[in-house]
Amino acid sequence: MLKRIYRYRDVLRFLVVKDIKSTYRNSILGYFWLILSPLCMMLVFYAVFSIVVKIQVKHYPLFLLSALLPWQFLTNSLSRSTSSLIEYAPVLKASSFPREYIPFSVVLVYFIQLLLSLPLLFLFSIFYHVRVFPWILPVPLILQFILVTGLSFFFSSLNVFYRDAGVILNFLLLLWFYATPVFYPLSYVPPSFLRLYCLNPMVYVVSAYRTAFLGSPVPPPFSLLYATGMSIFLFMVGYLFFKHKEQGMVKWL
Amino acid sequence: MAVDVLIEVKKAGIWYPQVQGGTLKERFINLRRFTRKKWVLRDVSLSVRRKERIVIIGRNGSGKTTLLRLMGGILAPDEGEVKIRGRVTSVIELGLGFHPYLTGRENIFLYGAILGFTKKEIENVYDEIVDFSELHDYINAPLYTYSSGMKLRLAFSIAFSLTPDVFLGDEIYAVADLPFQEKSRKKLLELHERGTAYVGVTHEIHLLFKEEWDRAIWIDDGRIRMEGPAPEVAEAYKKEVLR
Repeated sequence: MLKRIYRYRDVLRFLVVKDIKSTYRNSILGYFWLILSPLCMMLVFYAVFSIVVKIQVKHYPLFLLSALLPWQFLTNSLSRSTSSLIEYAPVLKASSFPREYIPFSVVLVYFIQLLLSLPLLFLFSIFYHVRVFPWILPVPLILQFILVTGLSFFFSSLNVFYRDAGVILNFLLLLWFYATPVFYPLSYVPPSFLRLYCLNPMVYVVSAYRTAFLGSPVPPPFSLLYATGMSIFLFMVGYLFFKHKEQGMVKWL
Repeated sequence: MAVDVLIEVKKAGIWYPQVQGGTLKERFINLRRFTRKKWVLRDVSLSVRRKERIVIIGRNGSGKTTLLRLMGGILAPDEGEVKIRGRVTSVIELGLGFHPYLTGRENIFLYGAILGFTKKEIENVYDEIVDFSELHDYINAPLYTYSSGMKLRLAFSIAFSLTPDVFLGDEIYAVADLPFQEKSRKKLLELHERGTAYVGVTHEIHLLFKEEWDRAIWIDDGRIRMEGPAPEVAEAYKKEVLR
């Protein structure tokens, strides 16, 4: 199996390059959107939660942005990879390359976008004169990559058999968004709920970003443990489910 | 498995889900039962040897394309066994791996990779592909500017310029214009000389008398009805269908 995956490695490369190239073709601002779209998103949140809801957090734009970047990676990857197998139906029906590459290439594209937009956070950190701890960054990056890849495998294959998956995913993402400290600080969560709350691996991811770019305290060790366990568990479930469903997939496309 | 056997299909069968109608309420109650298994191939055994040329005939919906998908590793059998050795390219629904916003050149690499070739192997035949397609002036233009005939020529050229162990073709001539059909036929002979086995589906029965085939297989209702020398199978098929 690994041999097959290796033999077709160029498919992955071309799928990723294709996606990155074609997303911004026929667009005036092109690659600037990589920086502009998280900025625009941040401004919207800033307007709502700073002016209307009046959340009191220091350096709120940076606080928001440091969570929005990993969050965008999650939502973009999941919503696009979920429909990816259906999008590629004609190709899948006519060739036999490893099916994993389709959802995985989507995740990879958004992961590259995430990496490319990280300098934006550094710029904000410099602007606000906060202490940064960038060496923690590989931990949330790797954890989230594993998490998102596993979930993409799960939802993309489920969606082939039951198109309800995409709809359910939307609600799930909405719920997940509110259960993650994106626009509010972790300190708003009642202490008695904290352990349960930290079962959400994104809590650790977002907290670690804030350690990296805002100098917030390092997230508690148990949350790292939870996040690692959950990410690996969800990856295994997602991948095994994908492999289980892979054989008959073409019939339903 | 003998040394020169590239694809071996043993008592293989495949079913397709057949979605039943019914009201929403009925669907909810029989959540699992609203799809039924419909066997489209059953008890099929055959093998493809190196350099063999096999033609598959049969009526629409008899399972010819499904059989090609089975041999190409696109579908796994639901019963029986399929062993594939070597590199198999399947040209089924030609050119559907294309992407409109990429240029012809970029599409050559994407399509080649999907067919199982590495970047380097594609680079080696890149000029050959462009020459064969006669699309020199358009190769750096995005594909959405191509006419459907041009896209087809590009797909043909890619598939024909790479050298697989087995080439599976589903009615590949049906859509090209006459000069290009002739060119493609020649190219396919070249491939064969280089050692490629060819399995083709066709509806042009007269070709079975003219062209050189090692064997013909007649698929009827998901089963092999007859297997043998092409003219004999074609004769029997014609007799039955035009009865």
